[in-house]
This record gives sequence, C-alpha cells and structure tokens, in this order.
Amino acid sequence: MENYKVIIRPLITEKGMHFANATGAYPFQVHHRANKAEVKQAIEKIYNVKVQRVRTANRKGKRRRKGRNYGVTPSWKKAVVYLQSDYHIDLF
Amino acid sequence: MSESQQENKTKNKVNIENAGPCKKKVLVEIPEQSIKETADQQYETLRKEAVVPGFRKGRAPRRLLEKRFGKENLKKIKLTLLADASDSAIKDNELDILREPDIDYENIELPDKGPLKFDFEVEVKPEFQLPELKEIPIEKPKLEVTKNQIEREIEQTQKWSGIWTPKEDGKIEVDDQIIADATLKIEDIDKEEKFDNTEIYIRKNGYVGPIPVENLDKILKGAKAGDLKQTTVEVPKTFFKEEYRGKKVGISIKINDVKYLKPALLDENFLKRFGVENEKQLRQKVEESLNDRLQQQARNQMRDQIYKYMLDNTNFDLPMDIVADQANSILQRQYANLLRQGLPQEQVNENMEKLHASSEEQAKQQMKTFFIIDKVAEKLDINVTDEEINGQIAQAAMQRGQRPEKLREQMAQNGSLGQFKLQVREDKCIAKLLDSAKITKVKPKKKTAKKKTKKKTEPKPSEKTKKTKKKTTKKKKKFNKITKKKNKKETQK
Repeated sequence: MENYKVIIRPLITEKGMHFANATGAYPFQVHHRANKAEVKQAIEKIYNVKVQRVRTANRKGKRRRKGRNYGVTPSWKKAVVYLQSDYHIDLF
Repeated sequence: MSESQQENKTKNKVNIENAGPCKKKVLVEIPEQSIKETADQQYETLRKEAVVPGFRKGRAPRRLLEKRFGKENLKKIKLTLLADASDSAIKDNELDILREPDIDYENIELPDKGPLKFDFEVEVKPEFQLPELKEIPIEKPKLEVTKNQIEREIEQTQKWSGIWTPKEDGKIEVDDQIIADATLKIEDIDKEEKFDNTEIYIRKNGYVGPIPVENLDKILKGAKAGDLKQTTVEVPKTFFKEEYRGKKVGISIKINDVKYLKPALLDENFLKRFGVENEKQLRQKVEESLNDRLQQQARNQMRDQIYKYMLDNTNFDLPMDIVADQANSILQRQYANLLRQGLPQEQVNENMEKLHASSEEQAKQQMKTFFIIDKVAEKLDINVTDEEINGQIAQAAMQRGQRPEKLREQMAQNGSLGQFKLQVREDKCIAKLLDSAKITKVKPKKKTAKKKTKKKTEPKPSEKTKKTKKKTTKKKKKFNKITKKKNKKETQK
C-alpha cells in the first residue's frame, strides 16, 4: 500500500495536541486495512521522523437517523504514533 | 492594553511636511516591535472568540489560527495599526484637521519584517490673524415708520382679506378676476384642452390654464360676461409641459363672470381679527409691527457690515479640496432646483455652465466666513450649550407650529442639527461683536432716495395714462362720428 494511502489525516484536536506535546504521541486516521508496521513506515517516510511504536484502534461508525431511516457513519482506524524523543511533527 | 498602545504611539516616527495651502503631508513609520505587539493582541482576542473543530473555545493554538484566519486577521492588524498611528500622529502634533485623512488602506501592505512606512495628506484649518474685534466701525441706519407706510400697510391687509365680488357694470379692468371657459388648441393638432369655469386674473402677464399670456389685460379689457375672446400665443421653448413647448397655441376665452376685489371694510370684524377695538389701536399695532420689521432690517444691515469688515480685513488661503466639494454641493442643489422647475435638460445644462463660476465664488465666501467665525468664537470663548440650542429649537418650532421634540428629532435625522448649532454660535458671535462695536447712527440715504423717486415717478404714469385715456376717448368719439355719418349716408341711399 502507498504511504499516502495509509495515512489519511492527522487528528489535530485539543487532546491530540496535548499528548503530542506532553508524551510525543501523535494521533492519525489511517487506512482501515493498514497494520502497525505499514503505519510506522509511512509516518517515517512522510514526516521524516523516527517512530518508536504504534498503537491502533478500530473506531466503529456511529448510528445516525434521518426520519425513519437508520444509517451508520463509516468505521475508521485510528493510529497513535509514539515518536522517539528527539523528533517532532510540525503539524501539532 | 491601553498602556501598551500608548507606548506604541510614542515609538512611531512622525514627520510632517507642507503640501500646499492648508494641506499637510504626514509621514509615519511604525516600528516592527509595535507591529508584533498588535498582532499578538489581535490573535489573543481572536483566540477567545474563534470556534475551531476539535478544540474548546479559547484553546485553539495560534499556529492553527494563523493558518485558518491568517489573511483576514492580517487585514485587521493592518487597519488597527494604520488607524492608531494616524490618530496619534494627528493628536500628538496638534493638527487641526478639517476632515478625516484619506489613507489608501488597500495599497499599503504589512511587511513580513521591518517597520511599516506610510504617508497621508490631511487638510488643516487655515492659519491667519484676526483683525481688531473691539470697536468695529458700524453704521446703524436710522429707520422710522411714516404715516404713509402705516396707511399703505393697512390698505394692503384690507386687500388681502378682501372678497372677490361680481361687478355690476360687468366690464373687465386690470386686476379683476374672471370665471371663464377656456379652450387651448395647439396649431396643426386636432386635440383641444378645455378648462371649464377656470379663474383667470387680469394682469399684464396672466395665465390661461397653464399657458402664460402676455398683455392679457389688453386682450380682455372692456369685455363683458358672455363675450368670447380669442388670441394666439407662442409658448416659450422652456415651458414645463412638453406638448406645448415652442408651439403656437390658439386660446379662446368665453367669459362667464367678472369679479373685482372688494377690500375688507374697517369694521368690527376686521378689527377683531387683529385683536384691537378701534382704528387707533390698529394703527398702533401696525406701527409696532412695522417698527419691528425696520429694526430687524437695521440689525441685518449691521450684521452685513460686520461680515464685510471681517472679510475685508482677513487674508488667507482656503483649502481648495473642501471649497471644491462645497461648490459642488451648491451646484447640485441648484441643478435639482432647476430640474424641479421643469426646465428641459438642455436648458438646465446651459444654465449650469453659468452657475458653475458663481457657485465656486459662493463656496469660497461661505468657507471664509466659516473659518473667521470659528476663530472669533475661539478667541471670544463663545460656546453653545444644549439648553441654548433647545431654546432656539423651541422658538423655531413655535413659528412652524410643531412640537419642539419632534423638530429636534427631525433635525437630528436629516443631519441639520450640526448646521443649526453652527448657526446659533455664529449669531452669538455677531451679537458679541455688535456689543463691542463703535456704532454711529446714520440716516438711510439710498433707500429714501429710491422711495422719493418712486413717489415722484408714480404720479407720472397715472398722468400719462389719463392723457392716453383722453386721447383714446377722443379718437373713439371721432371714429363714432365717422361711422354714424357713413350709416346715415347708406340709409339715405
């Protein structure tokens, strides 16, 4: 899988910013089929940093209702990337 | 915040140059430090208000804000910097500006590094020396009410409250009124316009319907009810109704009734209307009102003398841009007036060329008096309080029969309240100058001379008219004799 297909977007939120600055853990939305190794490789290539470890979590889509019809928002995969202490991603 | 802003103001480098009469060029340099400080303040306020997804209010990081709102915020920073800097430059250097400086906000760019340099031009009040304000030589015309004037005034009021009454002999004379059926027919067009039972006043330049008719008195003089009179008139090219403009119009007038103005009698009803009991009291009242009018006239003449003295004894250059604006507004007012009068566009344009020169002169005069009065008010420490203005407004409202609060509201809405304040201040200035003026009483010369000549000339035309009347009657008699002789001969044959 291509690196840019693996990493969908960085999750820039108040919580994400806090953990990025405090513990060096950067959250991303990644391809739902991507594994930890692919994420690590993609992040290292794209942001030119060294990744210590990756934690992933599958987020289930939320239920939504429109009138009498029910639907679900798409499920997605979250990856929290821990960088080595000397590195930093400038987005956060 | 206010302290830091003050610090910024002191840091700005300001240089002022002369840029013509009543014009200054202000060059300002805002240092990089104060640009940074204002940017920080701006982002701090933005942070408190901005809603960014993923962040609570006031928690979004500056980098994100710069990315999202950078362009808009830079504009704001630039505007606040320019406004603060120009304001402080004007205040610190005590420039007495006439209107807000014209700063080209769009073309000034905020530099990434280094100070922000910009310049602007402002129009300032002219600097000049006032002449001596005490003991201004003023001539007060000694105006007195004469018996003749009183009689004339009473006659006039009698005429005004007179009634149009039908004439017994029915012959039309000058200043009569007729009720007639008039028809207007434009030459070469079949259409006719009819006016039934319309009122026509017999004057030299009278009107039949909307059409002005020259020598109407001559045309209708001597006619009676039931007569039909016809004439053709060439309507001027400047006439307000397009259909008649520049055309020959045939007018036929069928006289239905002839009336003359019967002046009101000096009876009880007439006296009651003026709130008096007898003729003596009426004369007194008329004398008082005439006296007031003359006093006002004298006051106006003295006022004009003050203006003339001030204008003649001060010399300074006027801010030309403001004079041009003022002239333009005068010209626009005149243009609107001409259009309202119903003149065609070409005629209005012709008039405008003539008015252009006069409006500029008028504007210069107005601006000069404004600056002089302004300086006089400053020198004599004349201020107008709200109570004074309210009093003046109440007076004006009384005259118009309106409620003072409503008039004040109206004035505030249409923006004439400021002008009214200036007018009150001007009046106070003139009154104070008149108080300290050296007034000498003088007999009015020109006006009395005119009146005398009028009086002398007045009887002349009446004599002439008498003579002409006599001549015409003689001619008529001769003509009648000849026609009678002719008729006799014919009957004998």
